[in-house]
Amino acid sequence: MDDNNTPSLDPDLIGAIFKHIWARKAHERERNGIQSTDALDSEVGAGTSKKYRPTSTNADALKLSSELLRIFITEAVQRAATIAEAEGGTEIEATHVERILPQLLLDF
Amino acid sequence: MEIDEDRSDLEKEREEQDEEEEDSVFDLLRDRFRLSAISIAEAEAKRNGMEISEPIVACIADLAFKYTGQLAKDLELFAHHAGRKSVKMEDVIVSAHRNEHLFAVLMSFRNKLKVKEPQSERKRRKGSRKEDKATDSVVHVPDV
Repeated sequence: MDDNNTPSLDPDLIGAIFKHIWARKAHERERNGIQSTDALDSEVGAGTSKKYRPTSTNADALKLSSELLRIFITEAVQRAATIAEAEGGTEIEATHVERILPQLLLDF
Repeated sequence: MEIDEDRSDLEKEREEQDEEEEDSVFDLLRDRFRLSAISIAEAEAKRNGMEISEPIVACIADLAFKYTGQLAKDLELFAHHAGRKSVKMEDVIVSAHRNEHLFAVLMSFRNKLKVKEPQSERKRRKGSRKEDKATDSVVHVPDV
């Protein structure tokens, strides 16, 4: 983490992906009509489902999200590496990833 | 009435086209994400002195992408629940509340961001960040 050379995710890329997912979700919501999501939308305020106002993200939140995702990836590899090491191998194999997967998903 | 129907047909067609276009943009974003994720995973494996084959790295990248989708939905929900239209750092931290360690890591990362860039100096921020980068790349030679 202290190493400056380690690759990281571009916050702008994460932002673009988030926007896309939100736009898609809003689109689906619109198409399904108001009935199914009425309870949720009424909390946000009237008219949100009709006139779609996109969710935005502030820059620091994006940085934090990309850090979170980076940790997710490094954790996956590290845990798999630990298991591979315990088995005496030098290569991470599919079975190692399979074994760490449930706990990883619970932890994130 | 007929005109209206025609128009709605046209609109539908246009919508479908838009959707296709959006899908291709989304695929592009997904591929860019996967590439970054793959390089992170490979670097991490190297640091642990482990070899990792390509399909497994790709698998982890895909997993991370799915997690991103889940995260996006969570963040939107949290922000809306707080009555906001924009996602803040707090929402990201709340999304990690189950894992104490992760929670602490994110908190410290947030504090680091806050120290680095005080909120009151938003306008100066961009300029100073560039300067930071510039000074980082310059190797300082001591005068002694």
